[in-house]
Parts: sequence; C-alpha cells; structure tokens
Amino acid sequence: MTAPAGSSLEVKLRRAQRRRSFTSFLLVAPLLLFILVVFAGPILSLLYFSIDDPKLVEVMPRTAKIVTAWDGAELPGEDAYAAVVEEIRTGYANRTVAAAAMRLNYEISGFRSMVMRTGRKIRRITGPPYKDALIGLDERWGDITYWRAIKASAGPYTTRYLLAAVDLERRWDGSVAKAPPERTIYVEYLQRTFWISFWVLACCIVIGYPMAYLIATSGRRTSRILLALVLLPFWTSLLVRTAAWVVLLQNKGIVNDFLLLAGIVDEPLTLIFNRTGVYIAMVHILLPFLVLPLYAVMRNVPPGQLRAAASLGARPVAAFLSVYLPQTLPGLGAGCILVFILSLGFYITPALIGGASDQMLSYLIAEFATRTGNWGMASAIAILLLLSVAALYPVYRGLVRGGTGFRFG
Amino acid sequence: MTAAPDVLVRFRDVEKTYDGHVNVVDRLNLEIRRGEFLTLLGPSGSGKTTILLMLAGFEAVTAGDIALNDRSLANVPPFRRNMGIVFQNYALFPHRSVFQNVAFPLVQRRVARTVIREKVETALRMVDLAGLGDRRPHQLSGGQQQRVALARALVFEPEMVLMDEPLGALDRKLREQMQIEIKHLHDELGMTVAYVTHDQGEALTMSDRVAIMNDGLIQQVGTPHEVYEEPANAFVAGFVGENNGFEGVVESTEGAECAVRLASGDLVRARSATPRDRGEAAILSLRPERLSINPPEGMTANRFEARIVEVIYFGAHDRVRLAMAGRDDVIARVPAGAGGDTLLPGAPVTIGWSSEHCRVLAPA
Amino acid sequence: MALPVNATRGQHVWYWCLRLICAFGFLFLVGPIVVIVPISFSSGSFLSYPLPGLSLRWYETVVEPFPWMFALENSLIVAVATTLIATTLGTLAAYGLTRADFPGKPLIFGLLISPLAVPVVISALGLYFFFARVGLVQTHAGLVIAHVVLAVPFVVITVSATLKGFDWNLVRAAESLGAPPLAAFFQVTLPLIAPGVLAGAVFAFVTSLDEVIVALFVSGPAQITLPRQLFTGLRDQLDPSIVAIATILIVFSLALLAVVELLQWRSARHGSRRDT
Repeated sequence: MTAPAGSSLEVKLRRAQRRRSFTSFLLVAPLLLFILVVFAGPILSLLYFSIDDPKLVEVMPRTAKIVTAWDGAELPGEDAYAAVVEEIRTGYANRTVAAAAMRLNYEISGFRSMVMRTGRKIRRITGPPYKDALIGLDERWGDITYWRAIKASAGPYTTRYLLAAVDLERRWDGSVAKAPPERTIYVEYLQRTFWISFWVLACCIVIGYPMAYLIATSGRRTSRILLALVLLPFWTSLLVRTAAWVVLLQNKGIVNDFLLLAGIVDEPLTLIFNRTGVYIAMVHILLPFLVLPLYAVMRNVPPGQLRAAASLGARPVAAFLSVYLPQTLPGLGAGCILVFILSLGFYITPALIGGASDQMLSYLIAEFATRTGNWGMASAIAILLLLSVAALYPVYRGLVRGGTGFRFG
Repeated sequence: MTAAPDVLVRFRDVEKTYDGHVNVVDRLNLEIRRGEFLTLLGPSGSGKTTILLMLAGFEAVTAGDIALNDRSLANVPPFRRNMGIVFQNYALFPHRSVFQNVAFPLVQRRVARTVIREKVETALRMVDLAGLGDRRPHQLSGGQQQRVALARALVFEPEMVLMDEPLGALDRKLREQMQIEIKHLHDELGMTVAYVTHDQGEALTMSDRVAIMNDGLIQQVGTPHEVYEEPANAFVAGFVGENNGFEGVVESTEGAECAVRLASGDLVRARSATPRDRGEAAILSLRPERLSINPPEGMTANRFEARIVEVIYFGAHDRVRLAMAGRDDVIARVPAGAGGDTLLPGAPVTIGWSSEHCRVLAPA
Repeated sequence: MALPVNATRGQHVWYWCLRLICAFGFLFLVGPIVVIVPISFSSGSFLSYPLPGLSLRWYETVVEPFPWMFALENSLIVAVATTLIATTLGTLAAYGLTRADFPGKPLIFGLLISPLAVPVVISALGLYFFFARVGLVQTHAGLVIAHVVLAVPFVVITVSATLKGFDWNLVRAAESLGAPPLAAFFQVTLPLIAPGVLAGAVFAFVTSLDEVIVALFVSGPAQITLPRQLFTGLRDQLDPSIVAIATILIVFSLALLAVVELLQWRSARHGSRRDT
C-alpha cells in the first residue's frame, strides 16, 4: 500500500502535479507579472527613493568626495575650495549646477541662489588661492554651516528624508536631534491625519450603528429600500459627493439658508474650508463602509435573542450589552478599521473642502511629488503613511477572513 | 504485444498516488472486454472512482499504463478519448437546454446540423424524453436529468461509457427502475460499460462481470455468480451479500474437501478452491440461505445443535438469528412459511449445511 | 426595531433617539445627492434655492466640446480600455488560482489584490516615479495601465468568489464529450461565471471612471478625465455646469447600481435553482 519516500513513484507524481500547477500558474502569470512590475516594484522603489541622494554627487563628484572625508569641525582646506570652484564653473557652463543647488537649498534656504550667483561670477576667479577668492565672491563661503550643508548633501544615500518625516535631523557630527521649529511640521500632519480619522470614525459609529440595526431588523421590503439608500451614495462618484458638499456648505449655500430660515442661527456659519466641512464630507463618504459590514453581521443575529434575554429578566440595556453587542463586534471591528484605514489615505475631500490647516499626509505627498518635485520627501512621507496603514491591516484581516472589495477615497 | 481481439481496455500495473506515499490504486491489472458491462464495486475510498478518472483522463497515472485497443492512452487528452461519462451529479450544463446538452458532443465533432437534430431526437426518444428538448435541466426531475446525462453520453457512439455512481442520488424505486433501463440499453446497443458503485445489489443485477476493490487492490474479478458463490477471500464474502464467517484451523484436507476445527471445538466440513495445509488458519464462509434449520437426517455433512435467539420477519423470508458454537450471531434465511410455527425464540433446533456450500478462505 | 407594548419611559426615550439618529443618517446620506439635482436645471448661476427659473442652459454648457465633452471622451476611452484589460487579466488569474494548487498561492492572491489595501496616493506616487523613468507620464497608455492596477483586484475578487461555487465536473463533462480545454472554457465555464465576470467588469469600469488621484499625478492636459476636470472646476470656478455633470453621473451610478443588483439577483436565483 505504501511507496517509500523519494521513490520513483513520488518523483513521477510530483512531475504530474507540477504540470497541472504549471498550466494554472501560466494563467496567473500575466497579471502577476503586471502587478509586480507596475505596482509592487514601484511601491518598493519608494524605499529606495527615500534614501537616494544623487544630485550633488552627480554634478560635483570631487567636492562630494572631499567633504565626505572632511570631519566638519573647522573650515575645509584649499582643495575643497578648488573643487567647488572648478565644479561650479563646469556645472554652470553646461547648466547642470541648478539641480545640485536645489538639493543644497533643502539644507539651508537661500543656498540655491547663493550657488547660482557664485556661478554667474565664477569667471572672476582665475587662479589660486581659491579659498580667499570664493569668500571674496560671497562671504557665506567662509561660514562653516554652509560647508556642513554640502557635507550633508554629499550622498549618494541619505537618511535626511526619513528623519525629516518624523521631525528629526542629523547634525553635522552625526547625532540625531529634533529639527528646528520651522521644519517640524510633519509630525503635526501625522497627528492631524490620525485625529481627523479618529473623529470621522467616531461619528460613523454613532450614526452608522443604529442605521445598520434598523436595516437589519426591518421587514424585507423596508430593509431593501433602506439598503438602497446606503448603496446609492456608495456607488456615486466620490467627486460628485464632494461637489455636492461644496455646493451645500457654502456661506450662501443650502445648509446655511436652511439654518437661517429655521432660526437656528442668526448669521451664516462658516462650514467650508475648515475642519467642520472636512468632517461632514468625510463622514458622508465613509459611512456606507461602516454600515454595510455591520449590516452583514447583524442580519445573521437571530431576532429572538433580545426577546429571550428580556424573558430571562435582563433589562433592555443589559440585554443589548450582553447579548447583542458581542455578536456584532466582528462586523463593527471590521467596519471601523476599514473606515480608519480609508480615511488615513484621504486626499481629494480635504483638498477641496478643507483649509490650509485641514490637510492630511496624502496632501503632503502630492505637494512634494507634483509641485516641488522633492521625490525623497514624498517617498519618506509615503512610507510613513504606508506603515500606519500596514500596522492596522493585520487587525482587519483577523476580523474578516477572506476579502471583500471596497473603493478607496 | 498481441491481445485477444475482444479486449478493449487493458490496465497494466497501474498505480496512483496523490500524496506520494499511499497508493489509492495499487498494482492494477484489469481487462475490459468489448461489449461487456463491467462494474467496479467497493466501499468508498477503495479506489474505484480513481480508476474511472484515470480511464477518462482526468487523473494522471502515476505508474503503469492504460491501453485502449492496444494503444497507450498516456498522451491522449480527455477530449480525444471518445468515452461517454455519466457523473454522479449528472453534470448537465445548466445554461443549455436539454437538446443543446445532448447535442454538445456532436457539435464538438462538427457533425452536420441536420444529422445532429436526427441523432439527438433518437437519443432522447431512446431514454423516453422525446419532446422535452427545449427544457432547461433544472426544470426536470432527478430521474429525467439522469436520462439526459445518459443520452448525452451515448449520442456520439463513444468507444465506451463510464458511469460513476450514476444512480446514487435517486430514490430507491427510481433507482431500481433505472438499473433495468440501463441494462436494457446496454443489451440493445452492445456498448462497453465501466460502472462504479458501492451498492452490491446494483452490481450483481446489472453486470456481466464485477471487479471488487478494497484498499486500492482488486480483490476478485468474476461474474456476479462467481463472486457471490465462490468469493476469493473473506473481504469479498463479507462485502457481497450476507455472510456467516467462522474462524478456525485446517485440521485435514482431502482434495477440495477440508475439515476445519473452530475455536469452540466443533469440526466443520467445507470446500476449498485452493489447496490448504494442515494447521493453516482459515475463515469459513457460509451464506445464510444455505443454512437449513431442522434438515432431514443425512442430508447435510455438517449438523449442529443450536438455539433460536431472534426471528425477524422480512416478508418474503424470515431472518433467524441463532446461537451455536459459542456465539449468538449466526444468521439463517428461511423462506416465508418454511419453518411453520416452530421458529420461536429460545427454541432448540438442529441446523446443518452441506460441505460444498461452506467455503474455506484465507484470513483477510 | 419595534417598541414593546409595555415599554418603560426610558425605553420610549431611547427608541425615539435611535429613530431620530437613523432618520438623520439616511437624510444625511441621500439628501446632498438629491438636493443638488434641481440646481442643475436652474436658469440662474447661483448654487442655491429658490431657483430663479428653470432652464437647460447648464446642460448646454456641458455638451460644449470643451472642457466637459473632451474630458468625458478621455474618461470613456480610458475606462473602456481599463475594463477590457482588467477583466481579461483578472478573470484569467482568478481561473488559474482556483483551478489547481501551486506553491505560494495565498501570497499571490494577496499580492494581486494588494492595490486595494494601499492608499491611492501611495500607488499614484509609485506609478508616477515608475512612469517618469519609462516615459509613460502624460500618455493615455500610462493612465490606462495605472487604472488597471487599481481596478484589477475587484475583478479577481468577484470572479474568484463566483468560481468558488463552480462545479468542476461540468468542465470534465465537457472535455469527456470532446471539447478541448479552450472550447470547454468558452462554452461551459465562461457562460456560467459570466455574472461574476460582468460584475467585476462593472467595478473596474466605475473604478476607472471615478479615479482622480492617479490622474492628477500621471496625466497631462491631453488626458484630462472627467473626475480631474471636476476636481479643477471645484477648486477654481464653481458654477452650475459642475452640478449638471454631477447630475448626469448620479443618474449613471443609479443605472449601474441597478445592473449590479440585477446580476446578483440573477446569480442568486440561478444558484437556488441548482440546489432544488
């Protein structure tokens, strides 16, 4: 009955199984390859871009080499000045120096114009000693902080973007310290992102739980209609829903008209371009993501149970807390984490309805990537956001086995 | 290799394993003859369905070879094997009408449309479904679906027909009716059938030959009469029909006749198909209907005193449980009325059987 | 949610509180979408009630070739291409994943649906960097590729779910009756999983049609899509033509909702019939 392990039988079996597995794999392969190349690879490459720092070393390789070896304690020697003069000269001539100057500007603002100005006047330096000549062009070349900035930019790899994303920076002596106040904005964004997500979630629970309960316990016809009322906004374009809120929340918009007419307020409330508007619109968009999983779980709770608990002497609140709530916790948990993860990544709604102080991490990523072209910073913040989501994701998987798909905002 | 012309399928040393260690089919050597109705009978997990799946080409053979008309099937994909299959759940295409289901194999073979219509209608008439061609499978009863599956498997005149527990989902009455219909179809069309079932009654009723499987091994191949009357081993004796088994030791042999001493000390005369040695452990097999209660003097070689424990009424016969030779589970089957009023629990009786109906088998 | 006959005062209060919250919730969900529809028929240019009069002037603006019809055309081109590619690749992959076991299957499934789990901004950033290096920024092809990434998980999920209940004996039956694997797939498997494939295609289409973040990152002026034009319009010049296009999209999503409900209802009915 049994064949020994490693026998020819086993080998043949493996071959047969492999053949079927292989043909099945061939069907999966095109999409797998596509996702790997176009999605997984680029996402992983964000890690690389967050530490990649090639700008200065490409344009000014000799300078980079010299300042890397320099200890940073006192002004560098003549060779460093000579390298800077020579490389700014060639870089200015073939128009490559701007990229390096841009990179230096991340370290000290104003460095870019200083380099460009030096470039314009570099003709005046005709020979050694270069140190005095360069300081003569711009006395900031005699300031050691500018040289330390060059050292920090020398690349080819850097931790500055990742550190900056959590409001830290590396000092010239290698120690890590809190960044100066004018640059500590990123942790605030992170906190704000979590804070907004938290309140959006809280509102969704307060409104969504009774709604899901009502849908689950209504008669067949009513529950179908109520469910359709949840599904309609779910299927409506995110932009359309945001547009509706832009129209509704304006100072002369419908909500304010109504409030004035009803005598609830005396003068129009400011509802748009502030946090209130962001909360309202985000809750509107995310509410279905809480109601739908919750409804799916509640539908399976036998309706007689609360009555049974009551017949056993439980007061309504006790019956709800001890019988009903525990059974709906998986759905509630799944819905909560889904809403939270989704809201962490929100971009469009805060961008259109929020003010300057209501933007979230996604906004920073978009700004750095498309407006200032700072790929390193964009990548570092993307990693920060991705880690926030990834930390929550296993919890979500634990709560719902098997995947259900939802659209992301 | 030359084969007798009537052999259609030949399994040679076929083995099959799913996990690399346990063979679900082991050392299978079997011939299916052209035009015969061969049943693979065995308990679930005995490997019979796997044999069918290998023959159909849905499972690869791990070792050995299957040949159809003396040509190896190793590299022939299922769709070129030309075998009609009837599945247990029928596997009718739910999105196609009955007509389209039956026409499917003909369409695949690019048969002309007029010919298809003619053949499908003939096939539907053959299985008594004329006029139902426009229905969808789900609009038919279980028995009708079964007939559609049969028509679909037969319409393209396949080399042979494979049936995997095709009647398993039907209720008893319908099942017995379908058994007869399938048998009639086989006789009329002269097709070769390989049939898988775990129902021994079904196997005996329908088959020309039965192959009994257990633990991946063929236990015996023979006509229904052979496997019932001359079981090759204790498993076959126990699986096909009802059986009284006695353990004992061979005491003497004389040609085919043996004397076997039971643990209780009783000596039983029995017949062995193969020579037995003295002192060899053996199992005696005795069919309940071969055991007589109060037989006339001198009629039987074996006579024992026994006591009736229980009598169960079965309509056409009574099932009598007896205590003898230190046990109380010996069963006799007595035609209704044959025992008169004497068969009462507790009554002492004499029982007997002739030596030729009691078979000596090797222990399983 | 019914109140017992002998309810206490406290129960009454709770009951009406919950009812009030629910009423507010449903109004909150549907109200904004319903309220803006009439504004699109206003004859004035204020986005408020009462309407000065009714007219179709904003719809006339919408059907002007620029900017809306141009954006609509781009959106439809990209969405149709995305749907075709995502549905084909996703269905093949789901079929392969269900058909046999091979090492790393759960991992591969997870990888294929991972674009769902990553915030779109991050996907957009990765795609933008990648496209920048291979020259796909500001091309239609790039936008389609990006949308396929975001849309394909829906196809994989819906088709996999449909295949879970699929009776593989039907494929065996088809092959035993003489259909080669490809023919068996097209004549038996595909028609039977069609509701799942169609639902996946609808999801893919909607995903592409509604996508704006990736479009903001990787598309140029020649690829402006409807959502991107909406985004720009909402930010820069708000007028009732935006409400008109929104109304059209609401009607469209209502139609899609009906289609998906119908598909689910049909496959459910089909399933229950097979059980009997």
